[in-house]
Amino acid sequence: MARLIFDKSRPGSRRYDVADFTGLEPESPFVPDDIRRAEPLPLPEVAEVDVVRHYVKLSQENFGVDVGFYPLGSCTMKYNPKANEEIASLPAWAQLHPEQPVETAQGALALMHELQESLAEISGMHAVSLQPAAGAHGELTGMLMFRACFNDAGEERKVMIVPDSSHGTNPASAAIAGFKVAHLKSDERGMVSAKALKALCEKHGEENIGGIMMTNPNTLGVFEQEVKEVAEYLHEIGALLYYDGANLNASLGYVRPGDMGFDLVHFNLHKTFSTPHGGGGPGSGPVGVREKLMPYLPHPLVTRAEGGFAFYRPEKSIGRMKLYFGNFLVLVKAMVYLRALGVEGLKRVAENAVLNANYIQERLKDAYDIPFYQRCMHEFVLSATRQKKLGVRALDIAKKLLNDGFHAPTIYFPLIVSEAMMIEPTETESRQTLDAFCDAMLRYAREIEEDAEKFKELPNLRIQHLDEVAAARNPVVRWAPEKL
Amino acid sequence: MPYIPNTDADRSEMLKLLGLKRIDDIFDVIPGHVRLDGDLKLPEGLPESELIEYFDFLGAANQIFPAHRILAGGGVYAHFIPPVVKELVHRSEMYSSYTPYQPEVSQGMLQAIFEYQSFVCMLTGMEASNASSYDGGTALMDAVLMAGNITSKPRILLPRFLNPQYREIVETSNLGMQLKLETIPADSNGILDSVALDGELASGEVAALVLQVPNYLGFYEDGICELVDMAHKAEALVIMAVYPFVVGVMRTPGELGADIVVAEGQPLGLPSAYGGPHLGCLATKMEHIRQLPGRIVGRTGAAFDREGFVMTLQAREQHIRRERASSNICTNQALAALQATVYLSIVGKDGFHKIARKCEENAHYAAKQLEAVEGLHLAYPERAFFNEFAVVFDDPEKLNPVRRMLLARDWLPGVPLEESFPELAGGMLLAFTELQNRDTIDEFVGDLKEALNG
Ligand SMILES: Cc1ncc(COP(=O)(O)O)c(C=O)c1O
Repeated sequence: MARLIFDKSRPGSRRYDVADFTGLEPESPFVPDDIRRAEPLPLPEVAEVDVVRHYVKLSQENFGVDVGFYPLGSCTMKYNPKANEEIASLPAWAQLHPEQPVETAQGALALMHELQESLAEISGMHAVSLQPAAGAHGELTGMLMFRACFNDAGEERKVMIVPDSSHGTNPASAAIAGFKVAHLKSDERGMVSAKALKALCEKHGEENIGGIMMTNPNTLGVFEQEVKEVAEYLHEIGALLYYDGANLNASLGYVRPGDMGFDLVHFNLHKTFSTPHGGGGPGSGPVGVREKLMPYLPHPLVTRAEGGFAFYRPEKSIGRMKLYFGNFLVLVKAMVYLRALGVEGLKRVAENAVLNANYIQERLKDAYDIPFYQRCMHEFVLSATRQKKLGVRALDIAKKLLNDGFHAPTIYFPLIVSEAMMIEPTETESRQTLDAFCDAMLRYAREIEEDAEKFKELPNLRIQHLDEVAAARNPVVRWAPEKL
Repeated sequence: MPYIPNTDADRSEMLKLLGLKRIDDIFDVIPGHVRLDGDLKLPEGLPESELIEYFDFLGAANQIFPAHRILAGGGVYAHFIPPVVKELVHRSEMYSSYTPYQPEVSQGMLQAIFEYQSFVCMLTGMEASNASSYDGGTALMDAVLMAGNITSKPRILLPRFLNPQYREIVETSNLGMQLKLETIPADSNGILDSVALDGELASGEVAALVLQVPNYLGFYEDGICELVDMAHKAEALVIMAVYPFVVGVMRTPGELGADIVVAEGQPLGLPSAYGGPHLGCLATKMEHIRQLPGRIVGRTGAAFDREGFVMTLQAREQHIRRERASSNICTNQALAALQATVYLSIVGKDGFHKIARKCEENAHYAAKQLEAVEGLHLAYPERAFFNEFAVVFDDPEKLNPVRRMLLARDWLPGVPLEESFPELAGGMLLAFTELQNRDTIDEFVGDLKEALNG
């Protein structure tokens, strides 16, 4: 059994010093009788050194970008620069209280203002809110703004279109904002075709269409060729276009969502702008909009004011999505990154991200099926269908990679590719790393042909065959003391 | 070029394999009419040494108050954070990892989240916690959405003294959910109007009654157990939003009858950080686990052939269920959850209890001193409170000048209240933690008196 921190508790082994505590009664004299606690909460009692060893050991059982290659498609697992971390943890940012008067937080407002403006420039938008806490939260923000904008115009527009290759958060966000989701089938190039889109809109009634949620390059890593036609058509029928910025890394300095015709974009600062993913979060998902949607942005936004910066609320603001101003320290890290790279650096990011992905695709294209083979952008999707016929699934290949010290690609997404493996190397990997990965993948293809069963052996993985089905049927989701 | 390891030689060989000559040929597939003409209007990149200088320069425009002189709370509190917390959270194997989709190489984060869920269950008295929501406010919005789904009823009752930002977050998201949000008013003693509550509950349409404990003004609602009973009799759920440390001295929300509990986890070892990243805690009873939004980590028990931790009940989630998912959340606040986990392990049973007691003692000592000050009064002197309370200046015009003078003496005074609660013109909240002592409080009261009379 894995030993939990609770298993290491020994009564009396941890005394915590709170200054001036002597003489205080253990029981509270202030809490009303009917709700007062009788005994201290049974938290563990573990000496500091043992707490440290416990969590250091856990960290050693975890794979991060700092451990090895992490080509997890759609997640942009690039290197997290240490300058970001160091600067964001300085007291000037980390110790700032959100209820401070703005005159005492001008540095923070200046930083947020610079980030708002930089993101607007990068995306070709007019204004940016930094409030959403993650990509999906930005999506919900965007969908609520669409809704508010339609409500204002007295329009119902209930239907939101998402391509069948879209990320699950897209339809989920649209649904929470009260839209009915219609899936659009990708064409034989893996793209959105203006013709198919028009047919779908007509089927639902053009006057009912709220808009489309797209990412470009899309989740196959392919640049949508008809994006301009799509935008023109949708605007003609009064609908709006949402840009999912998860894949912005491919475009920096070369192409902007605003110029493609999108009305609203969310950014994933924890992908494109190098802030760490934190084992699941925190992220940051700012939204940028064109003029038409500016009045609906969540408040507060930062603006220039006499002698400095101030907060303001746009006239028809949808309200507030999150406490205060967003995941502020993540904003600091993203701003540090932007300043480190500058205008030239951003272009180099896109170039090398796209070059690295194409290089891997080219090296693997004969050994694996690539259903929509063409020039890709920052990622591509291969399919293990050929290997599956021999008894080896994408999941097995993923595990083999883990066994060999790589992180696995994203598997079984997008849903339109069977046995999908979505590979995104990012620009922060060297050709040597890419070659090592490609060599392994090519070796696997040979080994699978020779002996599929033997291939599935994973001698280096201590943990495998965890029974996820049983875990879901009979969920154990916490440790509890015997007597609470 | 920073952070990009390919050399020019690498690049030209790689391009050769692709049959390309120049690096920008790689963007040929982007139709010309959407490509950016020219360069972005952004500055040149900075070397690291200048980078640090630039951000030091910006940061110098922020005033940083000594922790024990921060009396602003309103949801974000200046507790002490033991250095070991930061050290452990900075392990880059943890922070540079993605959501633990691949359990074989993510047991560290998975176990930490399992421990986090266990801690949250202990603090809330619940049986199932998610792996985190974005913050206390969005966790409340998650809870409201859950209550709507569980009961299929349309009305949500919010108490008068709910954190105004929480209220706003719920209202904003409700643009899409279309629930009916109603406020239960309070009388001049701060007591929730039980007649109004009864009336609402009698409609039979109430999905949930929300209670904040302590409420935004720092006090315990009068007769919490009775309020909970009333809601349950009308088959409404009870959602409690709590300040984690209150559970150091109060029974758990579960023991008080809550069905869903949310909390802002910032006080558990996270810096104030100008409002984020913080931590949304969200927990419920086992019977509602399938409606719980977000990631959940489960333990595969010793009965199975290998024992470990996995993300479980994924069939609720957006990547499987898409538009029928219980929520759209994907990225959460995992590292903040780890931080709270480490913090709770470090303070432990003894520390958690002592901190809670010291917060109370400081606040009550301060309230007593302030009650004696001419020109101000406690807003609700009859209500029992935890570590925060509202004071009101007899002359509301005094509030701003007094705040300015306190700021000039390096005190960060509490949140002004009039904007959210017009009946409290000239009022502000004051919060105390374990970081003050009688001397600092006496000094504060002295400075406040001078400001008031000056
Ligand atoms: C294409 C795409 N869209 C949206 C998201 C959601 O972003 P987040 O996880 O930050 O909520 C992701 C994240 O995986 C994504 O890959």
